[in-house]
Amino acid sequence: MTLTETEISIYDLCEQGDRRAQMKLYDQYAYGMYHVALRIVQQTDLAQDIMQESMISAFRKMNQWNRESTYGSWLKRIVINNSLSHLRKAGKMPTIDYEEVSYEMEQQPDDTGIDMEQAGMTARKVLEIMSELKENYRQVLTLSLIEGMDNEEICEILGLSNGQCRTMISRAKQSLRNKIEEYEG
Amino acid sequence: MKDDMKSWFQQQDFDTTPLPNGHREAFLEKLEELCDEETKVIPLPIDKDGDKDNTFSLSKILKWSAAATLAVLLGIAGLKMTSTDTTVTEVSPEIAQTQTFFSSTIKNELEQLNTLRTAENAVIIEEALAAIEKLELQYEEIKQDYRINKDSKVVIAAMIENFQNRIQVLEIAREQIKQLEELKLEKENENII
Repeated sequence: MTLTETEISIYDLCEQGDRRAQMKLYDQYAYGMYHVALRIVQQTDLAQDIMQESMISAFRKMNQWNRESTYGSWLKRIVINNSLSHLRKAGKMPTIDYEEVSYEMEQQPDDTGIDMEQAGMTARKVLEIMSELKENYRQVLTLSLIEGMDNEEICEILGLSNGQCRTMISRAKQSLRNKIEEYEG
Repeated sequence: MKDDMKSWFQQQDFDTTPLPNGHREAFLEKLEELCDEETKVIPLPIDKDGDKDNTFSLSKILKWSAAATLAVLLGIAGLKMTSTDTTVTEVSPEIAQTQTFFSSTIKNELEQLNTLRTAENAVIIEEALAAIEKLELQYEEIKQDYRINKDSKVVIAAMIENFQNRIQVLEIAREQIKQLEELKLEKENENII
């Protein structure tokens, strides 16, 4: 009896020894990936589902992992993508408001910097403040500041054109700064 | 200044809520469910591995050639029933050809396996080689049998199966080596997140 390649890949996925390896991977990444999803979709059940389905699809696509990035960052990208595509389906995807663009922001005085510590910020407080911002601002700030993606990646993953998207990101940062200052004052 | 804010964020731990209860069980259930489905239906997308060269063409060749060979050999066996020749090669150039084909495929696969050899996977390779050796001995026995039972479909089928088993052993060894590699990489990346 000869195994076909299809059977072999099922074997990979379902074979008992492999299951242990899969659960090991799961335990290692579940917590972090759950939070990545949770910050985007903001619902615990949904975040768990997205995290778990992303894990499974990562197991199945293991061969597509190009090894240029770490397994963790590859997986994280899958989680972010799945979370965003959920928002897209639910019609909650960050978009660019017309007024924002027509406002025509040139390079704004971006770097007036805020001393986060002096402002008495903690992770929890920042999340709280961010949730008071406009939804699309909260989204891009999450991707940019918390997930550490650069602007280009964010624009690409959101499917937005570069110029507008950059403007949105810097406005989002500006409004976060304003909020923090308010909080401080 | 801007970078200050960035680095402040990077130092924070935003992962503060615990995972929902029973998340692990839920995940296992999802995995099991998927496996059940797949073993029933089997339309899994075929491995999109980088090294398409040998394994997959090999499986394909194997599938078709096994069917074709069986047909040819059975036909020959029928025709040659009266033949008095004693060895495979002498009996039938077709059988000899088949044997050469399989042998060279296997030799090829063996060479490839040997190029993958590292300290960690040496055990896998040694085991595969031992299994191959056993199968080779078994093949010699079948060949003896063939001298007596040239007309037996069972014997011919056994010869083909022997070749298939050898290829399977090699494929499995390669698969195991691949998994070992992946596990190693995972371990290396363990601390990233």
